[in-house]
Amino acid sequence: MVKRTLLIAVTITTGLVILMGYFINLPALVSVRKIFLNWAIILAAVALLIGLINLIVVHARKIINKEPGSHYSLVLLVSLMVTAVVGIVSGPTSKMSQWIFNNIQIPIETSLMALLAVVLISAAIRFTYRRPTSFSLIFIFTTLIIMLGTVSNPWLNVSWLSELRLWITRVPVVGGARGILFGVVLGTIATGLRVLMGADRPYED
Amino acid sequence: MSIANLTPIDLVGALVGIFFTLSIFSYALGDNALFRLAIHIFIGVASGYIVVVTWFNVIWPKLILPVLEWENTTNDNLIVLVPLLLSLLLLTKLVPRLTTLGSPVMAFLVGIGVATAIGGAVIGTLFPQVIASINLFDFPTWDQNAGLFWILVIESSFILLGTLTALIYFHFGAHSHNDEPPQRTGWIELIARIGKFFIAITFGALFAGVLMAALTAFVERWNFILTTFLSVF
Amino acid sequence: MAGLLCDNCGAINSPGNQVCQHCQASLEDHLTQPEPISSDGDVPGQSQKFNSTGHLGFPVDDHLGSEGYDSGHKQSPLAELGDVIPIETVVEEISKPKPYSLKIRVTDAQRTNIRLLEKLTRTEAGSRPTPKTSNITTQHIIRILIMLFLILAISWPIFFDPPHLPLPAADSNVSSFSQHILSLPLDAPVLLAFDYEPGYASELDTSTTAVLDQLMSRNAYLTLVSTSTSGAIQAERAISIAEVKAARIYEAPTDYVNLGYIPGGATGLIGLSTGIRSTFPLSINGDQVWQSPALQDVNTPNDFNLVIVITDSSATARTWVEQVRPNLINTPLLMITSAQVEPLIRPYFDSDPAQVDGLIVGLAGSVGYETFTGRIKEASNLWGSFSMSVVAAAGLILFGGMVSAILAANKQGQDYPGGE
Repeated sequence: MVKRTLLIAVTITTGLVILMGYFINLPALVSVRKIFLNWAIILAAVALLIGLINLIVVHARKIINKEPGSHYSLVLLVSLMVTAVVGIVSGPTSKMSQWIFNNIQIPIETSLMALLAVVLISAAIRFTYRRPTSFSLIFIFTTLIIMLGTVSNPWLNVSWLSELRLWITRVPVVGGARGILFGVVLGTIATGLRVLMGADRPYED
Repeated sequence: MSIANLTPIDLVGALVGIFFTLSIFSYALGDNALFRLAIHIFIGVASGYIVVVTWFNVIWPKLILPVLEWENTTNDNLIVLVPLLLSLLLLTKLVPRLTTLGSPVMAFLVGIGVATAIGGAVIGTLFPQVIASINLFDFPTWDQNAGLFWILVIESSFILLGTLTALIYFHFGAHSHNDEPPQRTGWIELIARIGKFFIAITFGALFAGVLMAALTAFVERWNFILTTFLSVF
Repeated sequence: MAGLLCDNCGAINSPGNQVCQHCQASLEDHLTQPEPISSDGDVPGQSQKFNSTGHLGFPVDDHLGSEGYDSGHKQSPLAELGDVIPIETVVEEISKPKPYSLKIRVTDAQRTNIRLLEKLTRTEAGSRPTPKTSNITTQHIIRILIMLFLILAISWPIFFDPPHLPLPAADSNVSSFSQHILSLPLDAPVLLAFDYEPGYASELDTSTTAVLDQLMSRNAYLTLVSTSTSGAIQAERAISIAEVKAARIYEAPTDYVNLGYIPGGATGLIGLSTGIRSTFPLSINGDQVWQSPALQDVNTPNDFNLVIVITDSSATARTWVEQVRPNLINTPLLMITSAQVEPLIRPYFDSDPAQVDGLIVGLAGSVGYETFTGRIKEASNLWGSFSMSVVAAAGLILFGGMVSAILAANKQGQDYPGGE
């Protein structure tokens, strides 16, 4: 009980200091806020490292226990070590680090994106396999208008398509997107206030 | 790109790039060993780079260096021991028996994260976008071409209609009457249907954007394969 | 078993004690001869009572308490017990216990249910081998066909006489974006955020190169940051590409500085907003940069002449607008984004007053920008293939969707003949 109260007190105190800094400009508040934010930035990086350590432990365990697929885990750990050592020894933006980035990370990630195009087209084709609703028809036709209105078409001179695309982007999309943004923002505020009032405690074990 | 202009290391890099590109594309034929190899190498490289960047940007300059330089600095740097202590407490999250020691640090991070999200949402989106919705009807040129004026009024009304109906679509409060399943009130349901129309258009535009971004990657990759093969062979 | 109650202190003593073990008072008065009980088991002058546990105990006197002890009278409870304890009652009670089977009685229906439950839990607990499926399914064939069709469409402008595909014109967005850069004084500090994943490099590198070319033409001092872990090296890569394409030399730390990665997402950005020097005490390469002439007056992002964010994510773009934009009083915020970000960032760009002062979107925006500046042709070289691929994709979706809908309608007709 005391522990839970302490945790809630920490959350509320730090939250209020940061939140008040958005609306009130007091020198003392500003300096405390700055200190808290610097600590949070450091701790966020440490949290990232914790995730990495967990990844290493999981894959190391797989290798030690000789589980199926452990050879892939070995490849992963070797790649991780080599990249980390090269980066730390030669520098994060050195030629060697850039070589690894340009010839391994970029081709793989870009190829995954390219594969996504095939998967998305396949999904869009199957979209009408179920009984089409008005929502799905509007969705598909908007997609087609935006795509065809963006590019040059060798067979059709459809300047009205690019005008329509521009109008759709400027008017109904802005209306819908603004409504979605308002919904997201109100949800963020509601969820955040629940945490700041101690009703939700995601930090508890 | 001509093979004559490539250094040996660049040539090796280009061939490595081709190998990984084709490994990933082989997924079209189904999951296979080459694809898995490429993915595991990718995860390893990305993770290794996270270690490098975190060390150079945070751990060394903000945690270790201030402590090493403590003697030469003013008393204010006593405060640099606090993030070091908090970081060590956070690391206890890795050990199941000690995990409760890291809870106060998590509470600290959650408090800051949540307050940042609320503050940004209110100051950065809510207030400015409400003002923008009001300013849709701020027509400074009342004596301009009447046709253009009325087009602007209709467009602005359409945008406002879309904003309000899309927002109301996300109201899911429902009541049940006479043992029927819960339903939204009639007028809310009608407004939500109009909002659904605007949301469908917005999502269609989003999907088109994602597809075009992916197609750009496809074009670039295929161009890379073609130009490398034509240069080398 | 009945004990001897001490009248002096109320303690219970074992039968046979003559002296109380607690207070040493004499217990002799409590020992008396019991009265005989009649054959029908009733003790004359006695009534049978249940004790507090509900068992039929030995007959006790009415005036006794629930414990069966007469603590207020000198006479012992045993005095009125009766002559003999009725043996029939005792024998009846002290009989051999009935044998009960240790086995549970289970009906056939229950047995069947138990077997089913055991089977379920057994299969859930252990891993099941994945059922063997055919290596090539319909989905694989469709994906391969889509891929081949796209490759054909992309290769057509490269290998064959390309059809006329006009480049998109530079619209007002492009010209106003460019104007913000051209109006910079020489050597002005500019903050550039590289917040995109390497997978989007193909879409964003081209516009980034064109913008960097213009910035370099103004001799702008570039300060590179990122909220993405791969952003720092992406930034170096972008500078290297721009140097080659624009035929310029830009060196660190005289012409630019790479500050590196800001952890924490929104928290990191609000930290950057309130104090860039405390967020980045050193550059990513460990250099002390804040004493340099270009950055000596810079304490917050508002002290830069321009802030440009390059991103592939609407969430990241929104976070920059929410956390950094409110603190930019005189400094414009420009964005170079992927096509997928445009719908959700448009409300910020179209708002009055605008929260995003300039926007370039996707490959089409890159081509427009290159057309406007007239120096680099990276995106323009890809435009023909890109246009054909998008037209091919749209055709596949339209044609494939119609076929899919017809197949679905036929299937429904076969499943429910007669329209039922």
